[in-house]
Amino acid sequence: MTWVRVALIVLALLITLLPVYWMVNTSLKTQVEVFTSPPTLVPQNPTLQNYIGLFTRRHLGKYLLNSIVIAGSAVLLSLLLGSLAAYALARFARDLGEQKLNFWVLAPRMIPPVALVVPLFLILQKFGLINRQLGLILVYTAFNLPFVAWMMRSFFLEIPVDLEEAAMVDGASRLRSFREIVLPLVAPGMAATAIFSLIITYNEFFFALILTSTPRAATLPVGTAALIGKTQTLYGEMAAAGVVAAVPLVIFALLVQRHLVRGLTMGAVK
Amino acid sequence: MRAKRLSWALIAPTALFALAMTVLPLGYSLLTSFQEFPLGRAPVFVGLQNYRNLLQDNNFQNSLITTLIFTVAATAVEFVLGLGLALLLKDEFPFQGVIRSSLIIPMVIAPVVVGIIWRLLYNADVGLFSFLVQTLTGKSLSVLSNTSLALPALILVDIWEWTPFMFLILLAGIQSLPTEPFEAARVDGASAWNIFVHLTLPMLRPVIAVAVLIRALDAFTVFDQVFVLTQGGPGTATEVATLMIYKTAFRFSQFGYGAAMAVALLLLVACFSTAVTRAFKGAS
Amino acid sequence: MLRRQFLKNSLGAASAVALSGCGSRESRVQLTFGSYADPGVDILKDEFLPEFEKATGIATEWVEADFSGWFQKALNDGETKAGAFDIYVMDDLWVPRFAGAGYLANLEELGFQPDPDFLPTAIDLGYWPPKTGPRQPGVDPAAKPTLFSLPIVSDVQILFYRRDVFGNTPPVAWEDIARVAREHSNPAQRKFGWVTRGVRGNPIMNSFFVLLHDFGGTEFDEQWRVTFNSPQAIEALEFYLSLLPYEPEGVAEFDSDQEGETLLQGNALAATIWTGWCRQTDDPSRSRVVNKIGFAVPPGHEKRVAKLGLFMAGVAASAPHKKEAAEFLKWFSRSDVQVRFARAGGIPFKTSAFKDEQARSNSRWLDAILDAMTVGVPSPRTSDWSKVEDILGTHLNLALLDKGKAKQHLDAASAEATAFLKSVGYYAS
Repeated sequence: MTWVRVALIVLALLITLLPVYWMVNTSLKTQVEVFTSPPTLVPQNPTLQNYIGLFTRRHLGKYLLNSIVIAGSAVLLSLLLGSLAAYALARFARDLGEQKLNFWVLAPRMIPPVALVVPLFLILQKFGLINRQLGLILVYTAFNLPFVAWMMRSFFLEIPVDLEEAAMVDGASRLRSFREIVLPLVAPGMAATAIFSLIITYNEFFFALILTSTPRAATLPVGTAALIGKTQTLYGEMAAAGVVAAVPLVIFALLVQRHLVRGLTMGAVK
Repeated sequence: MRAKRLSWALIAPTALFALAMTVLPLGYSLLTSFQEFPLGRAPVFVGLQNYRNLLQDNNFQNSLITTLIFTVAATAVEFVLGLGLALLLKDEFPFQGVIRSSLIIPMVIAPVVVGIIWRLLYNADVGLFSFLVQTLTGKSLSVLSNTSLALPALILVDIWEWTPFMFLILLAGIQSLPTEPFEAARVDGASAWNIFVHLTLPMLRPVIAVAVLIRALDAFTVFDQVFVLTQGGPGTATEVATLMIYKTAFRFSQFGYGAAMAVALLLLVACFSTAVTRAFKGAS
Repeated sequence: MLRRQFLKNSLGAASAVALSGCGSRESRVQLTFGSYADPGVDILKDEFLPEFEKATGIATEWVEADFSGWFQKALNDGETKAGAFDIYVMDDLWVPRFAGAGYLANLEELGFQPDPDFLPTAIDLGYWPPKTGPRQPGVDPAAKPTLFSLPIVSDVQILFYRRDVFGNTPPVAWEDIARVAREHSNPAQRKFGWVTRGVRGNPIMNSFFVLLHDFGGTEFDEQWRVTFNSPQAIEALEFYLSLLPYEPEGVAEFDSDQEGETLLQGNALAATIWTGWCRQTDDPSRSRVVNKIGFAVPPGHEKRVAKLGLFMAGVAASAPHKKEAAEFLKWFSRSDVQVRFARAGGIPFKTSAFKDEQARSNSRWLDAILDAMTVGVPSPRTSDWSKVEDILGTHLNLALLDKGKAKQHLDAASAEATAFLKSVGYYAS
């Protein structure tokens, strides 16, 4: 570990965490202190009122629960289905035109949400899924699937086919070779995809806004945005909402990040 | 062949969703773009009129350029920084779990909160940055009300927020690479730089392509930050296409014209993605 | 194996939660309100909805989103006739859109009759087509104005000024503001004689609006021709720009929250601000100028006006409980309820509530608000105003950045606005 490396890591951490620190800092200030000049690095009159107000008057607890359930379910579903599709794409459809594939997977992401929202609203309304957790779960799963499949496909493509074939020559079934050889190798990719999908789904705003209305199904982004008033924004409450919303994701990242590095030494296959 | 059938069974639901999510809204948008929606009356079919107006709309064309600049600048810097971070952190080191998790916090925070906090930081009057500049140079720093600084300021926010994404994907990509080629190269005496350029980068190509495309696509559709930080100002310096589309369709209730704008943006994005995909394909 | 277990568990959990939401039958009627967030509606939401529930047995649910988010939801609800909401809380700016597109129910048909105690300028905003002024193309010039919405909370821009600097008599002319700003400003010490909103579009337009009218200008004439570059308008803009040296540097990026904060921090000596901020001036957790702020009608020049920006309430055309919604509106508009609303700190829309002694002693700004509402002017009554406001507001912002060139920017603004209005059929010839 050269000290150059250490210095660079520290610099990266500082740049990354300064605004985060400012968010936490602001969340503990009263409104009058948020706009004080010169800005205070540490709150002079710290208060927990912002956090308390969020949970008592602004239903943040319910929004938090909805977000976790909805995003968690959608990501799990799309990871499962998407990874299977990705494996199939990587192994059996290698010759599929790369450009065509890219287009069909990326196109949904290219279309501005405003174009999608009315048809989606009408469809969900027909099935009585407006303002229901299940409605959003289905929508988010549908959104994540192509993207998860596409990302995982690139990770599967990184693994040479010979590795699996070697195992199968040795007598293992395709399923076994998948589980014991391929899966551990793409674990980092899966972890990254899981983290990214979860973050995107959890922080999604526009569809949650239109397809839900009450704390029965509305999510954190909707609840947080509602803190922006017509003529005024309570910055302290906003910052507090940001902190509360980020906590589950950070915990998830902490749990999953160890898969981001190679878990088992796989060099000994051949 | 069993494998073929199995593979299609696995791909089918995903493909179906992708199709539905693309064809349906695209069709709906196209239909809307051929119409006009006068207040309180039925929609009127106007053919290509909206598109003809677009060709003369300087404001919209400028917004496309602003969006392109934003996307290319942000994605390029994020890629370089993300790759750098991934290389820096791929080997073991103390506190690696906490450090890696800390580095991805920016992309975890809700975008609207990111916007609000950076708005506070950039504030010419009470913001931290202005305060620091003032202590050092005695002059205050007006970023968001400065026509030349506003767009770079927004790009900086995007870089802060999404470099962790590049870092994450590229780190995972590097970690998924098989070790044998690298061991062999080291045994052969190749330098670290050579290994990086001739071994790492080419093997990472599929992952890099994915990362760059996704990030670029998301940058094309940036909205929250611009809305919260500048509303497209000062003047029209940060007016990106999505902001124009949003205002046109919702605030001004010109649904048809807004839909035409959305289709135009989609075309631009499709061209861009094709170009990028081709570039990556060619580099082998 | 583990993953399949996870999958089963989460699917099970998700469907259990979803199913538990179905099948709950409401035994009594529930009114759903949709609104944007703002301190102005807090008292209504927190105190008067529960009171209504107790008085009538009708349950209420208040759904809130941010300003533009709620606008989109309301549009979507109106357009798709989804019926998710019974009452829309709207900005008065939205009334032409919502009423013209048929998203609102006819209140007169629901049995509502306004009484003379309503502030005329407030109740007039609820009519469509508008009672006075030109009508936008496509709207029948001979149609009788129908009541589609009611005021629910008054909001108007009034002058907030420092009593310790201006003395106890408020400034009556813009020249007074300029003079005090000249004498007392000290930007190096962060003392600003004036502060305004500068963000392009609606914010800066709202700040400039009063000056425009006070100097004798208007946005349109009776034939919808843009009069934004009239000599009076240019004079108004030049005056607006002349105050810049006495304002904070970053004013071009200020929206109402930063404008208000500058005043509450004690750094600005005066500003025209929405009445939702009145209460906070005396709250130590929000303000450093407790008890130092006075309130008045904005100063004048040739004329003296204030800008209206009321919260309006309408019954959705697709509302599932129209009768009960109308009942709420009737209840909340009762003079005695309005008096109690004013006493609790809300801003009422009936004259008797403004004049109530107890209310006036609780909220020392009520007199100023009443006077301002009486001379209040709303935004032009057309659903196309949003786009025109965006155009004018962008050029005003450019003038602000240039710190000058008023005529040039106003000419450009007028040209662009005229071209737009022409393209949507405003000029028949």
